[in-house]
Amino acid sequence: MVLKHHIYNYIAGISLSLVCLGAFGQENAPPAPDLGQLHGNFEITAQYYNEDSLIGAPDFPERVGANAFLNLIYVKGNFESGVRFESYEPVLQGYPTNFEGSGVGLRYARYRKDELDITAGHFYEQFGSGLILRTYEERALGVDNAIDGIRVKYKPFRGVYLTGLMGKQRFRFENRVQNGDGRVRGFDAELNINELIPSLAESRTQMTVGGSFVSKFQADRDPLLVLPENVSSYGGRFSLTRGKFSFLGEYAYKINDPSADNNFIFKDGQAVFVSGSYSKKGLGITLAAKTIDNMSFRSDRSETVNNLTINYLPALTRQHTYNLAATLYPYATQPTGEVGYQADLIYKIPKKTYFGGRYGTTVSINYSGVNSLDTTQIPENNVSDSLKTLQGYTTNFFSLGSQTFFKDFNIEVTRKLSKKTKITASYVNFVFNNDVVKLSPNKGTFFTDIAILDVTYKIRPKHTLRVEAQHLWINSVPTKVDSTNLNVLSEGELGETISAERDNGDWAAAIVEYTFSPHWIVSVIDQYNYNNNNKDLRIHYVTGSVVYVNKGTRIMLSYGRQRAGVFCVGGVYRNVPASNGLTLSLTSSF
Amino acid sequence: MKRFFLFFIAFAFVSLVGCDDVDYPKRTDTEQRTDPGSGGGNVNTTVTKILIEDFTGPGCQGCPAAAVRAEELKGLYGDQLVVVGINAGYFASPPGNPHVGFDFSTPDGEEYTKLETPLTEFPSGYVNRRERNGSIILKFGAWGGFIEDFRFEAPSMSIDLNVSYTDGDRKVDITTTTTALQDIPNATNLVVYLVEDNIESPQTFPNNVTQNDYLQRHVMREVVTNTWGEPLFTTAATIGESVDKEFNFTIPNDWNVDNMTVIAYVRDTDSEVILQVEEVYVK
Repeated sequence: MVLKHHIYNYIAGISLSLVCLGAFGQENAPPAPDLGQLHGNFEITAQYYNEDSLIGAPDFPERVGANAFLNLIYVKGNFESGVRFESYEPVLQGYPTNFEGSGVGLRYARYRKDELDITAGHFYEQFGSGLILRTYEERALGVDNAIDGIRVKYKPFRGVYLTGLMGKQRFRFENRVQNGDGRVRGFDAELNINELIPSLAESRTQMTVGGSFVSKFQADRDPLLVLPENVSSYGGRFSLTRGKFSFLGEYAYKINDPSADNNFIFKDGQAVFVSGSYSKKGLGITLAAKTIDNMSFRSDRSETVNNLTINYLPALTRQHTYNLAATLYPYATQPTGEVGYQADLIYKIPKKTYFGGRYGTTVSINYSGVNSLDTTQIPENNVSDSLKTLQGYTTNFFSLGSQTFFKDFNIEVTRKLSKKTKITASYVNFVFNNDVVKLSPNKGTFFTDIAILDVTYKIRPKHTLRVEAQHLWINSVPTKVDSTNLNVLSEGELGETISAERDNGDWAAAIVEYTFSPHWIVSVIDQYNYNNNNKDLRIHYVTGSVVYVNKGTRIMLSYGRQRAGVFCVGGVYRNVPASNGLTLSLTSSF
Repeated sequence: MKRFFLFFIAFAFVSLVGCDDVDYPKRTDTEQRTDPGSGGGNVNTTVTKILIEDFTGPGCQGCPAAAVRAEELKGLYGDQLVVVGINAGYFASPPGNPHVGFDFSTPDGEEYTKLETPLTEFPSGYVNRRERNGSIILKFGAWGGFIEDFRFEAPSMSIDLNVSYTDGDRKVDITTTTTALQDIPNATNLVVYLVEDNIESPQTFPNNVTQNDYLQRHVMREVVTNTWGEPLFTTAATIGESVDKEFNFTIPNDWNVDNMTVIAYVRDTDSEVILQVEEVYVK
């Protein structure tokens, strides 16, 4: 009876929300208190495609693609339930193609009472920084590895947080969500020392420790190898904050997990992540380092790309926001092995000083680097390994390998010149090993310098003009390889040299954006690949867009050319084909 | 409250036992795999053969590993397994394939990548175009285990494939007799490929390294029928029904006839599943 009541609420809610969507941003009438609350959001992105052979935008026979999502969440007392309708009719170009049709992509019911929190259905969860478990949705990239199963969270004592879960992961969507092959079981315990020990409650030192265990099961039917059906991983973490200082450390280990990612070797995996920071008013310093060895972890050992990942290996590099720096050469974590480090400094030079100016100046400096891990391949003629143990290689765990994967030095200065004008000037330097990260079909390591100037001018109240100018210069160096085993060599070693290319040459970009608060934003962006090696490709990629915002609703209409590129969010990347056409997007929450 | 705490301890324990350390990963019983066993009193020795369509490209860094796996499986299953490498998708043609002059893609191959949802992740393959977890697209690590799931199934079709070749005009004549071994409810088509093995050509390997004398295996050169095949049984087939077909094709001069085979397979036009496949050398 109660369930029936909820279903009626759902149906009423869906009808109501559809009416609301037609009228953009109207709010639901307040429901009667005993009926609970329904809220949610809607999003649609539709694109009309033109064929544009010059930039490689393919013919799209259906002309229009659209991705749409409707989330509905119903809450009544301790009970919560949610459902997500998804529609790909057909899926947008560049999105993973294993999304097709319309139907329910997520559904769950959750009950919370006192110290207990139970979820049945789909859920997202993260243990620590995610080294052994993180399920999440990144809609812009088409990443969704939600677990479909049961999760129980429980707080037996003050300061003790326990989580247990089991289920299968979302894999693909074809009129309904389809789960992957393997099962995931996990358990996490986190102790907040200051909550646990009453005498430390007011201490300046705040400490938490945590431990987690995740195991996956996938049946072994392989005719060639004896594959482990149960693969377990475990991790421990520790965080400490005292005054202006904080420290975070995490370690994870995984037993043998032969997979397509590691070419079916039976070596174990490890990861370490440490970070320390100091912050006070006007100053912030962060130092961080990580090592990853053979830590790809999926609930289907044969899968690749973003499919069915159980864990998440955070990228320890800055996420850039300015167009050329963010989209041309973003780095993605190499789960098979890397060593990364980062230093970050933000300093606000006080106002009314010589360097700070009248309103103060903020300087941020960031440096990060990623190298290969120091490993030694076990030779193929080692009979013991190639016929029996299949370890593949040995690792000198904390040592930097000779190969540079990526480096990023960047500095950004922001200064308010007057009440009306603010400028940001940036310089970004990348060393990008394309042979490893493989964003472009060209070979070699690319060296880029990017300069950015961003000026915001307040014309009068509510009217703001923003102009950005960017330029990217590129050079590359050849790669040297050992012609017998094809391993890449470091400087000074003798080997076959492979020619390098300047990828697509230099770029210039400009953005003009006019904001009429609070409703309208009009902008034009032009990316000009004026120095492409191929003279036919020295073209402008111009896009104009108009955005209208009203309360919880945002509508964007844009028209233009988008170059083929790489879309990167949180260290996960995806190739996006070139496109030419009209895009309409609408988001609304209620 | 105590009960819940115990529940969590139990949960943690259950998780902890899920841990398989493997000391000797190579299977040692592999010699037995080529014998599919007795047919349960059926005197027909035909077995359900398996076709792996391995989608690949000279610019695809991960693809050689898939080709190696296909050969390992071929070593295991012998004639029961037929492998074809279909050059298609981003890494088969420029700019994804940087090796100018070595584009082996065909319009038919491109069509096959769109059979389900368009293939964008390479290497990937189809195994008899059967679904695993709701999808016919399988990464190479899953091929072997998936074959184990159905390789003992009684065959529903047999194909008698005969190929003759005349050197002078480089003409290959192909005749087939296809017989229903079970009642088949759906219409079926016959598709014929010409395949060239061991084409020496450049291939990109991991770290963007090129090997110039790479041997591409089982490259699909031509679909002799049309893309989706010639109709065999236009509605359904009853056990014992049989259809003969004839095809011919003139092999271009730059294809090495000594390395060429003909592959013929029957596809169920409704489910898209490949019911039977045969492979014979041209010469």
